[in-house]
Amino acid sequence: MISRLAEGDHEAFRILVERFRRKVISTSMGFIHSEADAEDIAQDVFLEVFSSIKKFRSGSSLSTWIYRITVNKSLNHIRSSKRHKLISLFESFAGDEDKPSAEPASGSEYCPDDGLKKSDQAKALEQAMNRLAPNQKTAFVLSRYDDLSYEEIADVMKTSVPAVESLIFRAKQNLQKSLLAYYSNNFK
Amino acid sequence: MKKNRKMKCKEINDMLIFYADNSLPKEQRKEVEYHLSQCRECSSFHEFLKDALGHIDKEKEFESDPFIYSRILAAKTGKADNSGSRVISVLPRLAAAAVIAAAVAGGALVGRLYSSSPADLNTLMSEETKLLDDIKQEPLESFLLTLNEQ
Repeated sequence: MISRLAEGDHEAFRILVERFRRKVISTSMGFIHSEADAEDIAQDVFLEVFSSIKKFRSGSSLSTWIYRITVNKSLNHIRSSKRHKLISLFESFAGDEDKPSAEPASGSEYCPDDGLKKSDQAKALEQAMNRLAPNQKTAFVLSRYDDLSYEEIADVMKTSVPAVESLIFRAKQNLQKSLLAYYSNNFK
Repeated sequence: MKKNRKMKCKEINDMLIFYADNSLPKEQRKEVEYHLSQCRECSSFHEFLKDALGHIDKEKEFESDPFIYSRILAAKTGKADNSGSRVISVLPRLAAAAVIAAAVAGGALVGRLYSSSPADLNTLMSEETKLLDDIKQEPLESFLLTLNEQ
């Protein structure tokens, strides 16, 4: 398939997209938490794959290579959206103080069955994951969103299995702290 | 007693994410389960944690656009068309840089044309302006002192 892709075979490219579409989008969602942005990143990933396939070395697997591109594109997207957020922060000083706050009322008890509270969970998770260091987030996403084994994650991240175990352990500890802080601030 | 209970809750909370992920050893699982059955606060946080982590499964299940291949093809074709216009898009930036450089050079030239030597300036100054200049050279503190004395 790689040789067909290198020759610019569109059918081979279509098969590749179908085979890896879900994995790429699932990985991007773990970083971005936005369906529209995850699809945009997936588009960029496959375009990159198609244009760079000749540089692909058969030493590693195609899926490892695609995961690496996906992780890099996702992290770059986060960096560039942080820059945009800084700009809008400056703009907000120019007077958008009238915008209603999206924070839930503090002191309310957490009711798991209350449909209105569902966005709190998504928000809490997103905030907690955004606080993770890039390598911890990468290891956690590849483990939890893509169900990759520690060996596969080590391959993608070009590191060792013990390093991956340590990254995932610390990621979970930090997620725990962030989620507890969110819960304490909003529901206690 | 209260302090012990708070410490116990803290210990349990630190383990909850590993409990939710089924990655705790058996003995610790039993310990957490017993505590959750006795402590309403920790039990409530555990529910919140489970639901937050459960959101990951929802994100994983997101049904992406089945026609994404068509979008990619369209983007690929669009990129090929735009590659020639890259040079054109750089031109406005180059023009802006040239204008700024010309303005700086022009300003420096004008400054040189109108600048005079210190000796020439002194002859042009009136007595009043000379006095004002003296004030500028006088330290502020002594100026304020003389003002107070008056």
